Amino acid sequence: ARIKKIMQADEDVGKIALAVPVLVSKALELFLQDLCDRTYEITLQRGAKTMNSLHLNSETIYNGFPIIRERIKDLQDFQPNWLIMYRK
Amino acid sequence: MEPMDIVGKSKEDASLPKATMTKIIKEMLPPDVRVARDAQDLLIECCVEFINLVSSESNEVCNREDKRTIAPEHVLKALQVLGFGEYIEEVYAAYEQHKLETMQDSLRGGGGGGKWNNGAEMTEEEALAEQQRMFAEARARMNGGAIASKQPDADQSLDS
Repeated sequence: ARIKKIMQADEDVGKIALAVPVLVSKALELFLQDLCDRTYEITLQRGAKTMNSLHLNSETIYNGFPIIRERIKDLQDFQPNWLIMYRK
Repeated sequence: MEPMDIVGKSKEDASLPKATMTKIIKEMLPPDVRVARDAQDLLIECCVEFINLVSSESNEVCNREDKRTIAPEHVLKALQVLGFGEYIEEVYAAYEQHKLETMQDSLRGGGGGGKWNNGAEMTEEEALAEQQRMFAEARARMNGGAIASKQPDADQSLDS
């Protein structure tokens, strides 16, 4: 229901078949797993025990998910490094 | 779409539940790894953006095919277009599983009211006994109806 709500927050999106949120949910799970794995690798490389936004902002992630770069919104506290890079 | 006020909270409140997402993120990582608050927020933000991205691309695929409703095939095509082709196999498997479960639910009479949903848990003997009881009830109703309908005829014959 939450996924459907997010999808329909976009005014252009019309009707959604019942099975669609199931597919999006699975794709999201895989995407998040992918993102976590890549970020964890960077956390390990830097010898840190706490994963933070700097690890998530690294160029490895940026290169791994180029499609996301132009879609990520500005957060209240900080801007992702790769968003700033992209804007330059 | 309007800008975010707080992480994961838009004006329409179309966001992912923070506590649930945090739990999922922690389950995806080794137990010894801590996740900073800002990283959690950004991960959740990425997830919301991923949904927006997939839905808008699915919508475009849907429009190109002159359809009014976004169907599962449109989502699969959108994933391919967006460069998430490696997800398709597992996503399709999840879709097949969902179809199977939906079919099983409908065969069991899922959603048809609590009274009938217990049928799947009945033993054969219980089901047979229930069937006999229902037959008996129906027979009694029919017999009762037949007697009631025959009654006026009997009265008429008495009058004449």
